[in-house]
Amino acid sequence: MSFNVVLRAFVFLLLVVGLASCQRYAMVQPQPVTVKNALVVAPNQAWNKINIDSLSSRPVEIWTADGDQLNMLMLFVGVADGQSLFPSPDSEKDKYAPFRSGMTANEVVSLVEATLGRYMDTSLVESYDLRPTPFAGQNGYRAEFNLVGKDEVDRRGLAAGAIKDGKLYLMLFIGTRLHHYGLRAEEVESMMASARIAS
Amino acid sequence: MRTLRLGVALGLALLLAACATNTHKQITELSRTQERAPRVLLMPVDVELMELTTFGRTEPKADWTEAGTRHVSTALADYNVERDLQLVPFDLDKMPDGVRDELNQLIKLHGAVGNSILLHQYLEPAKLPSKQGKFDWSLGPQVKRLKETTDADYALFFFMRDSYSSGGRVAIMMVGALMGVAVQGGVQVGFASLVDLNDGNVVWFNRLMRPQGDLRSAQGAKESTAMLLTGLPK
Amino acid sequence: MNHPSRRHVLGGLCACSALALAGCQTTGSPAGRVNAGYRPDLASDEGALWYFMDREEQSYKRSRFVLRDAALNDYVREVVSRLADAHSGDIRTYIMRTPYFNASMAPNGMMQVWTGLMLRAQNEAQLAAVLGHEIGHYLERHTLQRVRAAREQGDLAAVLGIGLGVAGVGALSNISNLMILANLYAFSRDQERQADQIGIELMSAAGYAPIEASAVWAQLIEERSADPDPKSGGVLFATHPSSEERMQTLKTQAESFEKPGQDLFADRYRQALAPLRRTLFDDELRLRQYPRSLKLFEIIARTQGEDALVAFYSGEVYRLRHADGDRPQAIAAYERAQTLADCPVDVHRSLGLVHLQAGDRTAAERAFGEYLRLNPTANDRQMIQSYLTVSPS
Repeated sequence: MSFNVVLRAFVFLLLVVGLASCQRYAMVQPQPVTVKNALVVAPNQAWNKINIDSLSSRPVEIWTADGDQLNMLMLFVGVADGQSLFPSPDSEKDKYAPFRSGMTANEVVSLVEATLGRYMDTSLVESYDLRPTPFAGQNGYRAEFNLVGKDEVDRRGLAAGAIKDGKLYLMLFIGTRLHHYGLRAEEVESMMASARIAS
Repeated sequence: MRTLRLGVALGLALLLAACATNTHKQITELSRTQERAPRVLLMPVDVELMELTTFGRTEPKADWTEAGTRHVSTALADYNVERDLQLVPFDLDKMPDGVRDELNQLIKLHGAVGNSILLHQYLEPAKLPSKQGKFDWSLGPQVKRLKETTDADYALFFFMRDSYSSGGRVAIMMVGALMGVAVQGGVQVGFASLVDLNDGNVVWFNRLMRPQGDLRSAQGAKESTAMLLTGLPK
Repeated sequence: MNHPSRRHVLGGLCACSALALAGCQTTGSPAGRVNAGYRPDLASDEGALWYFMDREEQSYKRSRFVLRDAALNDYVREVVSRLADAHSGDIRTYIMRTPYFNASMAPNGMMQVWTGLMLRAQNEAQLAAVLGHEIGHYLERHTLQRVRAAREQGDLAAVLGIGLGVAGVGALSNISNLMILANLYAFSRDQERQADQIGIELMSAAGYAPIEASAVWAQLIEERSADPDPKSGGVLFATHPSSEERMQTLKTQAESFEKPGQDLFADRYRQALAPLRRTLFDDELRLRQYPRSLKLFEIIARTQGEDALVAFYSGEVYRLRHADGDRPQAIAAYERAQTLADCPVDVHRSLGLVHLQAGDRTAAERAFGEYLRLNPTANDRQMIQSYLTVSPS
């Protein structure tokens, strides 16, 4: 397995070298920032925003503190009824199920779990400890996740979110269980606690 | 003709990023005590040898891989003596039942961190701006489990892939040169990393990438091993 | 056996790239049926295949995706040993937690059985049909044949790599290698037909009703027909005989293999699967392929009878889909589930959620109350309680 992981990494590296003329990551400064004109978050540390073309026109950004494979913060900032959290590729149009405005907290978290499973191509994903928590001034909720990626690395996750005016605002953080989740957990908790919907 | 060949050489040089090895480190010296030489856990050596066929397909060779793995292990044992280290081979299967999965997780985590270093530390377009060039990668303090189980101070990971051009491939490289196209020949790539088992920090990391080197012979493996361990803290 | 989408082609590729990469110039013995206890010479091309596949297999031993349940592994091993007979010691089976219909065989005898197949097989005879087919690939050394045949193909395609080299991305020839590997990993149409033939021979000799081999395909065709966006399939599907053709051929062949005393072993299969069943349904539901899942559950209900889990998970699909008319369908399914034995406690929570959305707070309160009474340590307890106190925003 390690051979394949590394081989794939090399192929990926070579692809990046060959095709990416621009930087793949952009600095996120440790100061309040409005994500896609929709959600204000206040990081205390510098993060890196991943430039992904297919996400540019969607209400989502992905950040990482230590590299995508080690941790990721996904910010869903106003996903509308009928829209999926990530865009499905043309080759698999129903890869990601749509969000529905009428979803309960249980259903939103279940959707996040399903989306994570598809995104990481794993069936080893589960959510637990769903509970009500205010988020961005709304009656929100939070839940935790366990997942194992194809690289066999154990990961932990934490999501906090709420629906406002029929749109979903949700922050999802995942990182390696042994280190890179805990390394940024406090920072992420504080960002979740202070997030607000841009007026 | 000569300019074309020069072009091929230049292309290759560019592709292989000019220098064969590229090292990052957090420390320059191992922490040594009076009592004993630093105990370094040698994680299972991951070596694979391939043949580059006429039209560029790589075909792993079992017998070469067997020989290469053996030669590298011998070379590492020699290196060990030269450097006054206690290099201890690590075998997951010999670890106690209760901790095996946990230790396996640490190895997998090292794979993820190693990939991240190769990507974000070495590749200009994939650099993480927040790091500002700092080399501060870590597996975290949970690596203490490895220290507790093995009484080692460091862990050394060693990975190498080596490919050799077949006769047909060499011919194609010549034709390519005539056409002004750089056709890649066999390449040796590898990386090695040293992890401090107190805090999980990757204290030294080296990447090797060059169009020469040969693990099929004992002498070649010795040279390649030394090359990959360039700059290892003393 | 079958590859439902291109993504899985690549998934399988990664898992097996070591095997696919291994083709060598030294050719060994001509490919033919292997003897029991066979091991090739390390220096041969077949030896390389085995060597790298053995290395790959080492990593499976600790993979989190391999199911460890001893009883289930023993059960599958018994089925394999009934089919493979003298060769059963040469085949090692790994049950992979992957919710798609698939099984695969590596040249060294490492067989993968995916949990999506276990959910879809209606009885032990159907599982045996698929495993027999995979054992056929092993016995006839199909991967080795493919490697030898693909070597020339590969060298042709790699010429493309030189073309890309001109554009300054020489190393991209790795990608064209991957495309070749996809072809390589797929068995040829003739090999699939041969494996089908061996499979039906082995299963009927082991006492399984041979007609079930075609039933597997009939079910898959029916399930796929429900998909509004059927995956066109990519490389692998192209080289497979069509499912219809295989189903027809197997159906015709079944008659000549029928013997008195052959059975489906449906009860034994159900019993062995019982502890795993909820996980299988959960994994299927998580794919969010609503029409296919509903069709699959319908097939299961039709062949095995609707039990509480089938009814409950049908309800879950309707509840999560949120399409027009789904709400009454969900409630009806949950109510059926409650009348059946061993209904999951979660049915009350699900009913509560549906009633809550319908604005029926009294019914929601009753269902949630029942859920919390039956599951006092539910880890979403606070959330459930809050539904009843906080008005929806």
